[in-house]
Amino acid sequence: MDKAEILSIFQQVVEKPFNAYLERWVSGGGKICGYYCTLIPGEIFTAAGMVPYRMRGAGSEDTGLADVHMSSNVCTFVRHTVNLALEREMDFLSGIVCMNGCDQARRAYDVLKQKTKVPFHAFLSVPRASEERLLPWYKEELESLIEGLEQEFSVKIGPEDLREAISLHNSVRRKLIKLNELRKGLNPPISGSEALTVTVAAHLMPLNDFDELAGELLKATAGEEVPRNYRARFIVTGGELDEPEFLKAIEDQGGLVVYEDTCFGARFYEELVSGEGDPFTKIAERYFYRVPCARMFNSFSARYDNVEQIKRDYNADGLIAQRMKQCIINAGHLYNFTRRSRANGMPTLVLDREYLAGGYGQVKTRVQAFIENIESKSKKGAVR
Amino acid sequence: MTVLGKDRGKELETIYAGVGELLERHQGDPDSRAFNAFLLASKMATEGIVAAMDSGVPVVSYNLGGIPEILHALGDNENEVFPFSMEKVVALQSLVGDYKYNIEAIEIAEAQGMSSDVCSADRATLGNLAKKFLPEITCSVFVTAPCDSQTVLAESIKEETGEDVFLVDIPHLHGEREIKHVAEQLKDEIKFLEEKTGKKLNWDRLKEICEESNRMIDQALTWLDLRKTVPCPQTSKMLSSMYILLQDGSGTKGGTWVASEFAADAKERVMAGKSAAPNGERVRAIWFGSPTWYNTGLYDWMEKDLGMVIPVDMFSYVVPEMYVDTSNTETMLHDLARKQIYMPMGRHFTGLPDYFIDDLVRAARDYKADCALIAGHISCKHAWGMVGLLKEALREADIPALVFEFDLFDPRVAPVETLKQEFTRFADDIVLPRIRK
Repeated sequence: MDKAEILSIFQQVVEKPFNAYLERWVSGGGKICGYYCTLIPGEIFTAAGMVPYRMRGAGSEDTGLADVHMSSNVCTFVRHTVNLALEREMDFLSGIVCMNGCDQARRAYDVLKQKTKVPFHAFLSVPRASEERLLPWYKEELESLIEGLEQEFSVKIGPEDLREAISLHNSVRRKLIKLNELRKGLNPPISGSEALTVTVAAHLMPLNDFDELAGELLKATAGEEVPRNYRARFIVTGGELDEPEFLKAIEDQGGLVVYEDTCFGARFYEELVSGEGDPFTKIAERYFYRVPCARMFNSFSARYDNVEQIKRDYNADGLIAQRMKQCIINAGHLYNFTRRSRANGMPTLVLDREYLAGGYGQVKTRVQAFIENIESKSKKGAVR
Repeated sequence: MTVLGKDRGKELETIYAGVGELLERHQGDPDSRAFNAFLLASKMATEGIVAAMDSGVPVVSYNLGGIPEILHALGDNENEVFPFSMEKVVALQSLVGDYKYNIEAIEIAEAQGMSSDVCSADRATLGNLAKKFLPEITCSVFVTAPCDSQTVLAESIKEETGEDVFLVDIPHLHGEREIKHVAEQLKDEIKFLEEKTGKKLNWDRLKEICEESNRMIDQALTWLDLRKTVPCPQTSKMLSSMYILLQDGSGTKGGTWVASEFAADAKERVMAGKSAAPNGERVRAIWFGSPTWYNTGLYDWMEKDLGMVIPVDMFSYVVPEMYVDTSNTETMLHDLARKQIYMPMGRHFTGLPDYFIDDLVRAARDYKADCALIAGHISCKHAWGMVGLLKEALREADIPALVFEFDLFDPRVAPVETLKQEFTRFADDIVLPRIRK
């Protein structure tokens, strides 16, 4: 298969809640467990013989049903996801596992638990700081999840199952890391919107299938350079971002997105689980100690330093910090981030957005202005 | 004007002048005994802030969801450390000063890049930090309750001041396992505080402080019991100040005295057959959610014009689980952890929806309420995220409810006139016809 064919498959995977790969998996008797945050280890579901499935709202057309239970004061990512579930578009799930990622996501769980027919529900209380003193609690929560899955689905999740799951998840991560490395080049073989499509697809299909396709994609892109007429290279940061079309809107204006420091982006695949030692502990440590997301307290400097490093590694000109309207946690993150980045001279554009809003008229205008601003400051000239 | 002999900047001076004027106006008014006690506490709180600045003692900031007992017990003597909740200044500015300074602070925070989605208490605090009139802090202790905005504030305070913050992670559920987990964290918090302030925790003093806290809870529970009387004896606007008392005055003689004045006032009024509603009580409502601190005159209007009284609200919902067993260090830490988890607001806004719903339904039953007012502060995403489940539960319990949107510190979101219209329609069209039936 060539690159276009593989990307087209991934594109189909991300468009709707249910896709052909899941259909095949379910019709073969396989089970799928939905989850709702990057701090919930997918390896545990894989070790239970299930497909880890990151719940999201793509394919939702409105939030009417969710609005009955929530309110327009809740973010549109949450409401679209809940809406799909209430429309029974997620009835293919055998379980839903959520956590206290944010106040809005945990209330999504309350609604999903009470108002959907999905048979298994579990909730993790994940500490809000990646500090050693809190790791045992996180591990207890994961142990409880494992017990729940074993009981509900009559499976046994032993160390060997976890080791195999680590191996598969790491294989996927390695491929995504390699793919992302290609974006460091001057003329990367894939665009930002294409890269995000691939990463989002990894959340939504059996990982063996994804691993195989991602391997094909790496072969198809090996050594390839695609001349791109971009005027600035960007890192996109923030929380939830699973809409490749948002990145396309940026790229259509002359920007090239070279890295997604987001939940569906690098937070998913950066940092492998160590293959040495007790696999359960290693899984817990990878998720708990990795570069923290904005919900984790005492973590701002680590996140900021990480972005600075990425900016250097990927030769980025600036940062686009996007946030879903109503998202309190990322409001705080971006407040601190923009203040420090501006003080340090890092060009930063903050974009508040609604989920599945389409159009992106305002995004385009602001990105154009941002690019012009970068160009005028750097005196690089109009086109690379 | 000066406060304790020095110029302190317009913000603190306005609070101080405001509380002074209110005290003068209400002094000797037999109907204002509880309110006067609260005003006196506000005056002392303001003086406490400036005294801490003058004395140079270590200032430890803690958040709106936190409790101060451990902070008070640092050092062998009283006042060796000043526990300081920055949001208290925002509350005082609204209640006794001039709310416009809060608006100014909110606008500063927004101009610095903070989204208006974040709670106005936290935005105003960031604005106040930028104005640089608050005491400089030595370190902070924050709990992850009641909401996301509070953790945003904690991280931002750290970034702004450069001083370390210790985080007490409040788990999702509120059972024994969770209490023990928080109690273990309190041990680490103590180590952190001792290192940062240079003051050792004095366990004998912590015992005395917890005993003082218990006396405040005694008074609060007595007070709440008296407020169950029909007609409700005491004005609704006193309710939410109980939260400030718990958060700021727990473990202090002053705090206990104010709570005892609340109870004594309620008792006097019950004995005299007085009603909070001057023209007669027509509707009893449970107020759940944040108070309209930008304009507490709303409560006076409700009582006078609608005959609508609030015997209890979420901020005043003290429960016996807030007592601390002082038998030994372990029981103290265990029960302080439980108190922390069971603090009003934190208890309601974290964890299961049932924590919120059950208290509300129980309050409606215990206080013989006719209806509920669900006060939807716009940044309370946890509450908005379960509003449908809440409405269902209230329908099932046959409690008519008005859900309204506002901001507790910012009148621009929903001016008081808008709320008056909503309350009038709710009382006239929904609640009173049911009562008449």
